[in-house]
Amino acid sequence: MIGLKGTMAVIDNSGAVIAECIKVMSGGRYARLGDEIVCVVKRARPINPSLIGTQAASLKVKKGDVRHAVIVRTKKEVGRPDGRYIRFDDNACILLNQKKEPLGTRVLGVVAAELRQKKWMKLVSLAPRVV
Amino acid sequence: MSTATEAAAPKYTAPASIQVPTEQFPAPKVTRKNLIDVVSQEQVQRANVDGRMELFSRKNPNRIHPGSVLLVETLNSKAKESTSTFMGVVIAIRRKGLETTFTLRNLVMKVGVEQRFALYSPMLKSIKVLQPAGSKDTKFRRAKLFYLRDQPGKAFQSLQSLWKQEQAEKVAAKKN
Repeated sequence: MIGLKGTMAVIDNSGAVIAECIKVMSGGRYARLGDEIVCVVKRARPINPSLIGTQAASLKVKKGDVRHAVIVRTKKEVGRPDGRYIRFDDNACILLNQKKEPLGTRVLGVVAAELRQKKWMKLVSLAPRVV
Repeated sequence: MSTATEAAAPKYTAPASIQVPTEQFPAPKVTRKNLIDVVSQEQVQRANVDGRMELFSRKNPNRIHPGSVLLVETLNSKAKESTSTFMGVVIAIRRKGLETTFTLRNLVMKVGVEQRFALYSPMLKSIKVLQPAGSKDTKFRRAKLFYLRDQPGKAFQSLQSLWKQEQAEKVAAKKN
């Protein structure tokens, strides 16, 4: 349940570390697992100074960038159809571009299997572990 | 109750939606008992397919204590045979008859993951006790181990080796 001002970790290699939600795209007050949000990058990894100006640097995000993201882990438990509930210890998201494709090329960490139901197959295939 | 009256009375056939007790479950005695308790106990007996009720009862000497390590296999769908497994430390057992649930906690890629399973769900294929609570690192003096979220201590250290052991056993079993 991520709402306005909700912070979460970014678990791809786009360069962002922490993102803050500013809009839940589904129109509700809170976003759940697999929902798309618009977020601001609050903290980002420093871009290697030797790379500034190159194509590789343009793919990395900076602090203050506004991007779309999809939520892949929530601290609020999510119910599965067979009666299971799953919750993670933190909230995490993966940044997306305008075409709903992941900005980064790798996913670093476990993601929830709800992404498969919500049709984020690219993310599920990139994820090292799906629970 | 003479045979003449029995022969005269028409045989009652219940509609399909009502489960009539068969020989396996004789009609329960309901005098002087809470009817809902009787019904719920019968529901548990029906759902207790592979003896999982004994693992989570209150008095059984072989029951699971909070802090034991379990391996749970769940069916992904009723149609297919594929299963997903989850291993973890039992941090909570909620006993509510048919709606008994237990929560397993594990660290997956350094992120804590908790799953709450409904004990009598038909999608729950099997429960295997990998390490019963009570040994050196797994002696817990609480019924609910939610404090492990903040102070795990050594509770989750043995899970990796237990998982590897379990995988090795699986491979060995497949070979035979």
